[in-house]
Amino acid sequence: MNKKTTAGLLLVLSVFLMGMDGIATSDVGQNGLADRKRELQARIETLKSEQDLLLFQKQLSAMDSRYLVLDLARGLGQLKYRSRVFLDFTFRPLPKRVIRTVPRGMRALTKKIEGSDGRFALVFGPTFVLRTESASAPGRGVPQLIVLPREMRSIFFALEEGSLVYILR
Amino acid sequence: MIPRTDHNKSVLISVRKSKPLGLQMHKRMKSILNNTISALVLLSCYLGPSSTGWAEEPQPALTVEALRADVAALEQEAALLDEENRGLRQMVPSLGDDEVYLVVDTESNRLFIRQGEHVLKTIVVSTGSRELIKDENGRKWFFESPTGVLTVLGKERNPVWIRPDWSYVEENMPIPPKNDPDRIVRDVMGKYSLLLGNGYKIHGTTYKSLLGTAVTHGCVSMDDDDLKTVYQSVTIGTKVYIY
Repeated sequence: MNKKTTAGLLLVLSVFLMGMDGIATSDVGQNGLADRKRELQARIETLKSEQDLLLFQKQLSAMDSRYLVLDLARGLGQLKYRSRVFLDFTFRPLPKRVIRTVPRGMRALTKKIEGSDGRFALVFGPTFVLRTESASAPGRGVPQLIVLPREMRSIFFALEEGSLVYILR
Repeated sequence: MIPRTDHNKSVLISVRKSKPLGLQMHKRMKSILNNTISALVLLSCYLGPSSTGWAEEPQPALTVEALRADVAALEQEAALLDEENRGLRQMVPSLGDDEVYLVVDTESNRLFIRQGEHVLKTIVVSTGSRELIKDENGRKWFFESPTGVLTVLGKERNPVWIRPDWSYVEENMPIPPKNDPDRIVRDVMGKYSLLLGNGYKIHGTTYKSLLGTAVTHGCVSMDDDDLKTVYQSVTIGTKVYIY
């Protein structure tokens, strides 16, 4: 190999090495930024959800009515008045595919159904029904949240038609 | 025979002067290689060092810049939302405070001592029976616990019960005058009581077996030990939410 060929090969090699170095640095920077962007987007979603709930609570803190906050994924509910918790209760968690069909946010109680022997049901429009296991299920295909009878009794008499519920998913 | 012309001569000279074919090919290859190298060098200079990678976006420098701008905008948005939420939390009264309050559920006959989101103690109580009685003069009494937001207005030790008129009506007894000493009854309300206004109290009971049912005349009654806990947990001004 003469001097010219060696120089040429070195040049080619240097070009490739320069390129490789460039790819690595750029990728790290780009990946880091993309990760940060995703992280921030998720945080913004969380903050927006939190803000929505805070606005709801702010609105309810000035009202003289009791309301519910339901966490569908965890199967937990709270009966609240202003910013005080009156009752913590549980309900049978819904399957994830059903939870996805229930929209997050505020809904209103549209109907109270009092059956015999503590068979209570609270209907929140077409969104879902909160009821005891023994109560008949109004609205076929509507998600049903099953609550223990004693807790359901307290919730049933604490709310009236038009009372609000806030759904977390 | 080919005539010897000058032209032929020159051709012959050129053939004689020309190098072997292998050597010519080698030179041509070298020239191609050199040209390729030059082209590569020029290309790399034009596109920049990071552009030589074939798996990359066409203009990564710009993409990174765009990402940086997006991240900056998102950071600003997140900070703004965070700030707004902080403000909202302050605007919602008593959200996140650690004040002790009492909640009485008249359906389940339970009293909860709560602090913020936490239940400190759940107590089985008795609340108003929701019964109605009338006397011969048409006076009516409906024994229901008062619902709504009440306040602990006073704390008593060793309370006495001043029997009201309905207590005599209920037992078909003649009603004594207002200040009759017969109205004063001791040791039926436990060792403590909390005054809620309008004659309603949280107190002890002698009917312990009936706790958990709605049997009182509107007061909230409970076991002695629980009463002591409630008494010690609250101060004058503590809110009592009855529903």
